[in-house]
Amino acid sequence: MVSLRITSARAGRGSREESLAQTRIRHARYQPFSAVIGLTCVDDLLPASVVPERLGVVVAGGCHHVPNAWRFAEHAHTEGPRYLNPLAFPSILPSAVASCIAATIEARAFSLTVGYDHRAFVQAIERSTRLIIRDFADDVMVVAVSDDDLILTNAAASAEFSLPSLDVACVHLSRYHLPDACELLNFGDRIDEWGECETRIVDVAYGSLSGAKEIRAFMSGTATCERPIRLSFSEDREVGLVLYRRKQSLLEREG
Amino acid sequence: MLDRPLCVSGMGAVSCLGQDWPHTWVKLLEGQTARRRFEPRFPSMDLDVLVATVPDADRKIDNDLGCAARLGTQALQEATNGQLSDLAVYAASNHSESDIIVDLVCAEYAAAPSGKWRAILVDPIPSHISPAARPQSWVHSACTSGAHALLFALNDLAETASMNRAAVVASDALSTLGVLGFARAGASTRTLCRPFQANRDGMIVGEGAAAIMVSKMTCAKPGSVLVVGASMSCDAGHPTLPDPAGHQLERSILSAIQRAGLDLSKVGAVIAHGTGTRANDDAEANVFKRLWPEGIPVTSVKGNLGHTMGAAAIFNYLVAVESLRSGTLPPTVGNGEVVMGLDLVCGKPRALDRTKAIVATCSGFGGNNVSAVFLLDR
Repeated sequence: MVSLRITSARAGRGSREESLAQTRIRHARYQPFSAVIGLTCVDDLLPASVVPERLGVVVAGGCHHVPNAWRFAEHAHTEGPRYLNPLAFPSILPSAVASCIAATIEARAFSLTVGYDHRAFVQAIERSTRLIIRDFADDVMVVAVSDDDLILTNAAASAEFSLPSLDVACVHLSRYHLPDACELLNFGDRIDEWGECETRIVDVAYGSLSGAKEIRAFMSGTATCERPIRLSFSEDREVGLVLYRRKQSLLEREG
Repeated sequence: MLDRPLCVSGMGAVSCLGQDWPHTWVKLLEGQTARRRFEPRFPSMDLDVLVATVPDADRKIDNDLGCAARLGTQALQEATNGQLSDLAVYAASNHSESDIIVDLVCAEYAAAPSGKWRAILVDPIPSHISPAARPQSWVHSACTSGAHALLFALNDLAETASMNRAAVVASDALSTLGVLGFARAGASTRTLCRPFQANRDGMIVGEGAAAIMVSKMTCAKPGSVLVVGASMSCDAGHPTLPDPAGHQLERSILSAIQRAGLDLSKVGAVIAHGTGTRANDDAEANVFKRLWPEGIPVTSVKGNLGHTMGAAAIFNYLVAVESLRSGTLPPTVGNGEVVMGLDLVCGKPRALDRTKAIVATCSGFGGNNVSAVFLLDR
């Protein structure tokens, strides 16, 4: 059992330059912008007393790296390879957002990118929980982010997808007690063993952020929840989470 | 130790040396290489670098189906003998089908089929890796991608009573962007990749797919190779360079050995990441000398296979398994002066003490390190 809390933000338009100027990510202009806005949510939740060797970062897989990869390819095509900036090279990888955030917050347990579709955020939470249970970390910051970069917007229009917006959500999972957190009681695909739950179907229109809205709504609810809730997907039930808001029985962090 | 030892029950590979794992292994023992000059995708790309590619690979990007998915499917079929039902598949890649982006950049945008645009928004490999077994887990962590996928599979097998076997497949096709990036970073050799040698001057970007199937011990045969431990860490430092001292790499190796229930004296060889770059090999050599000051046989297959990116770790694991089965470590390419007095297996294969474990290491961009421990079941 781990505790879970979430924060999310919908970044305002025109804030890219401001965000780049304010971020503590090194060489931020050469990094995926998703890392810059992802870090803002991570910083909101990151405890001061966390041990770097026991802190991991898991990012819900998506297309965060595509704008950087596109511009890298375009630059090579129009200017020639000699004019490519080596600093921009690592940002073209799908793992770049996780690497960038992990380096900035000194997460030395792991930095991972998990999943590829609308289930990615829930899968990232599930994987992170398993890694805490298997003692690979005490705390994991799980990030889901979507970018409205022009390249992604054009791609979405050409592919007849809904247009992306600039959104980010971060879940902090911990083996320790966290203030204002709920408990993650169960996860995975063994739905028949989950006991009596109220089911909430995840709205999959949010791409890799799917599930964030439902978790936030549950956690910000004022009514006392008598029963746990189960988050699942409408079209399949391969993965899901069971959350419960009650007094936690987890360990207090030392120091 | 893992709650229940897991045995390696299948292996598959497609590499520049062979269309399957047995052919690849034979050529590794012979010390063969297969490098060629990189062919530019567009006229302005006048690069003089070497690459290691799979012969006759189908590189056509058919809507959203590309070379990496084809290679991965082939390796997975070999490892599982096509028996994919009730099999949990874990898949991984470093850069996915990144040449789709290059295609779109070079082509007339308006003429591009919508499938290609979809492919840059939703990773296309998982849908194509195997029609019969869509991966239940998909991970990107640069060149440690395959290693993390295996670590996930091992842990899920240990935790899930109803799960008896899992296959891990990692694949990457030659990436135009990768070739450009490594060349600009000064990490590519123009001659020969010579890991851990003083005259080394870089890596060769490669491609390929490797798959490994692991099963619970009820399925094991005498003489099976077991995966007894795996662990990970992250430097959380430079985006591309490893920590020169290798403190986090050391932590991942020690943790994997501890999780295996062994100690350093029970390890008989290391299959190293060994890229042939100055930074990586110095960092690894530092760690090996600290952990085994009396020396330990070390080998790397990057000089033969090139750097297969997301598949590199699984190739190392296949080498570890086959070395334990055969009692022979394949040689590292090159015959130069070895750095830091490392006990590098060079020139010809070397006999292995099969009573001891093998540690296979892997590191990647972003600072991830993953280590796994293999042992012959005696």
